[in-house]
Amino acid sequence: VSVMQTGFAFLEAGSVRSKNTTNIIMKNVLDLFIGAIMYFAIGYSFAYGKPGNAFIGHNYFFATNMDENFTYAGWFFQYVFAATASTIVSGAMAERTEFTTYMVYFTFLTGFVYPVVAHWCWSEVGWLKVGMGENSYVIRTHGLSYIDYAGSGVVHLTGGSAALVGAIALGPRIGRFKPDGTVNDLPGHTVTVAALGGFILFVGFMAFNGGSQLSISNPGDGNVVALSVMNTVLGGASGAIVAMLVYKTTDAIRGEDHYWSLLITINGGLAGMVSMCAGCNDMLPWAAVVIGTIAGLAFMGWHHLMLFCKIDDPLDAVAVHLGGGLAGVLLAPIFVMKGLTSPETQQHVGGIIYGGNYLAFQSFGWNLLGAVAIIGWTVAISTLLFGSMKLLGVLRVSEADELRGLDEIKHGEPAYPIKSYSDQ
Amino acid sequence: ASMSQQDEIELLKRQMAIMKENQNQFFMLINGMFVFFMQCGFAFLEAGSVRSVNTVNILMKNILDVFVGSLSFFAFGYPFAYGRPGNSFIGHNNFFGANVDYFEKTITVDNSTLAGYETSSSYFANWFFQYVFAATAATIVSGAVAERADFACYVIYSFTITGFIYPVSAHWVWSPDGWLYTGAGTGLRMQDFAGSCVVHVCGGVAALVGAKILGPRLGRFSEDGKLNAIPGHSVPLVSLGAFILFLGFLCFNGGSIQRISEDGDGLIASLSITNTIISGSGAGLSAMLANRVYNTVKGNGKFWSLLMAINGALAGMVASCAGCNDIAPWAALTIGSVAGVMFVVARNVVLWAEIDDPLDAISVHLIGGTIGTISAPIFAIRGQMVGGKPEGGPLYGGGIIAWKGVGWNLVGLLSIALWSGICCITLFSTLNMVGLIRIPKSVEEVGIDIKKHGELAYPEAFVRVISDEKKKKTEDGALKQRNLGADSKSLPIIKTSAWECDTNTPPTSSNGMTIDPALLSPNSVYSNL
Repeated sequence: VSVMQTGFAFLEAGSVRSKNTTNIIMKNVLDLFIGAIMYFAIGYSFAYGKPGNAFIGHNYFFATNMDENFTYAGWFFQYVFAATASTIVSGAMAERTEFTTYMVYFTFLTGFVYPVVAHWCWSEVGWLKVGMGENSYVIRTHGLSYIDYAGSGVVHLTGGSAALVGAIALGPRIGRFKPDGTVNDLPGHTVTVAALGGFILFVGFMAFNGGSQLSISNPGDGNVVALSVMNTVLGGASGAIVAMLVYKTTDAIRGEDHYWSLLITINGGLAGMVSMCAGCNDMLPWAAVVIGTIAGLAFMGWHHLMLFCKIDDPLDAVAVHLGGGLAGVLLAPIFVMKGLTSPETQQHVGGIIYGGNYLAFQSFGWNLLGAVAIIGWTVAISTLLFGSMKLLGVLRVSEADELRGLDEIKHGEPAYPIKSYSDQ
Repeated sequence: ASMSQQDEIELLKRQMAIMKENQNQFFMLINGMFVFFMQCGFAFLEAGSVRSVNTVNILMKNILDVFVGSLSFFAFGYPFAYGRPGNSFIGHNNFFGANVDYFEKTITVDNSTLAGYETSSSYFANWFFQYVFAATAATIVSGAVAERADFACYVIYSFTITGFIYPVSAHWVWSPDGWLYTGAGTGLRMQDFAGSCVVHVCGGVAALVGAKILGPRLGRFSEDGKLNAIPGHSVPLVSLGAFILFLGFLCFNGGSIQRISEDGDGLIASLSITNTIISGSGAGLSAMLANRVYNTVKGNGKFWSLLMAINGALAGMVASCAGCNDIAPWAALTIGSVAGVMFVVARNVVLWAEIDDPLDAISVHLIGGTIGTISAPIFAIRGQMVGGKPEGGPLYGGGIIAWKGVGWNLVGLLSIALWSGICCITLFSTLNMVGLIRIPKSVEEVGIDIKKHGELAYPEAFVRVISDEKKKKTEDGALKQRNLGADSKSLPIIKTSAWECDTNTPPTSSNGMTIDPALLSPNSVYSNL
């Protein structure tokens, strides 16, 4: 999963112009490092600190005060997930964001925003995981638990929503949308490197989903891990093929130039794999194909929606992660085989297609609530964060800087200095 | 109350069985993931070996090979290969994953091995591991048909190879029902541990048929039979791909034992990996030497060719697949050295036959696979099993049975080559007849990327003049034209123009200010070509 950072670095590097390449790779490298420090300091504590309340954890700050519930392996595995969530945001904010802005929001995202979400959904006392007790006044939600095995919601909805807020706050790149509203294509400078990133991400995703079982020693663990990996591959495949076909045929139907787009295929595949995170451990492979297909369609829908709303997202990060993540979180309760355990009978009730049990429908509603809560929380904090930075004027680089290219100005290291290529 | 000793022993046996089952699946998944990564390696081997205007196309094909292959292998491939029940020709169960036990059953312990059986079916780990092998077989073909194959043709043959042609080949050799495995009455078993024959000969023959039926790239062979070099656009990408392939090959061979829980498994896995790297190294060096000698003799100039070293090494690793679990390292070195030299020979034969193979896929996979299939039983240490005991290979006192094993491998080699050849001839000829096989000449001249994908691999360096229609749509403004590469008389003219933004006018900032184009092209090589 750590290598997925490499994959994302290359996907981004290939998708931006050559004058901004060093900048975006630097950002990826920094995400890994700032994420590690913040997650070590307060992130893991907020997420999994025992004791903790239903909202947040509060122990193990700076890896102190550890008890038998804290393992270094556990910290590391959760850390790479946190780093994944925060690196998504940079995709939507590429080519025009101030460097200090990156550092500030990485700090907040891995230190606070993501850990709280992880606490709600994955720690033993988080409110989404535990559901509300039978004494709740509002609704009887006894026995409900938010279904999200590897983090469609926790990781990808968080990252995707923060990316959306960031992209809106920043505004589009110069020259992206003409005054009359048409879209200028600002292509990345090398598709080969973007494809390299895509391949690395695919391999890393198998580990992302397979490893979320967190154990290999219990009966059936190997089987669940293998099922997760298989479902990830199939979900990615369906998402990619559907996205590619939809892109070509909708353009063809409209009478415009229609192409087999490599970047759309890669992003569709990623969206498919993102949608698998929620329930790949617990669904039949054919269900993975179905969900992947829907995720591919959702990705295309969000892709067009973003363009329609004039929001500039250089990597389609919002479409992949928010679109794919929503598909995953909402469809998992429908297709899971075991699903929740009924408190009355102590039996697994299965997803909605396995009998339409009332608890199955409730679990869909609980997942929906979880998605809304995650998006709402992330959007709220991100708005505060990006909004205040925008008001202070530190969010976006100056116009001259953006046109000149960030590599030379911010890093003094152009990605492809002509001096190294020829004597001229 | 404490457990009785008997209960404790039963509990330990059960836990042991669980542990073994989990370990084996984990072993398969980890190795499978690295073999999946080989798809990335091959993508970059190909990307660097084609011209820059076709790069996106070849990357697209590699990505699709992964995705189309997985769906095809899930729906039809794995069932044909390993579906049980099945007959000796093909399997016929588990289509689309049907009839598989997904839920755990009670664990029963095999007292002799303390392995668990009747646990969860481990269908998923098996499927994933076999899938990455099937995808490898299919992706071999893309190397031979690069730069000129039609997109629909590619999808169709990728689907067919992973869904039908390869699975039947795998069924014969690796399924307990397959006739090459059971011996069809001879009592012999084909020795092809990691698929020299099943994967590489099958894919190599398909590549040969495809390259032949597709015909050479425009300008590759002049009328007088002269060979024109069409070099790839990026050697660093080729090297990146090669390194990834080398790494993946270690897992391709090391993981083929598909088990790590029994006595001797670790030994076989490590022996396989050792043999793979030794064979690859021997082949890389011998190919490099052979190529230099050949070129010196022919008067072509003396070079130490990186591409020869890389492809030779791959041929050596391919040759090691068949027997790496059962040969001594000195034998791996011998096989590799032979494979490297034969690779260079084969490559020149292919060129002499005027078959255009941009990546030498035929020479690497078909020749390497053939050498592997023939040499594995010759150098085998344990050789054929009779009554559960190894008879020994021909060099280790195996006698007549060992040589019969060599013969059986030859039978298998010919059968799989014929099977793949006949299926692919049918497939490619049909595609040729309906006109779906090759891209139009106009597209090939300009480059596939801009016509079919709308995405240039390096947009800042070039902007294609796509078509007259698009030209008419652009606004007035000076079109900076610099023709690059238009001089060669034997190569097709590839029209290019220097960097310009898509709409042919400089982009404006949000307040309507026109930007000086000089600001858009900083001092970087991409904007100065």
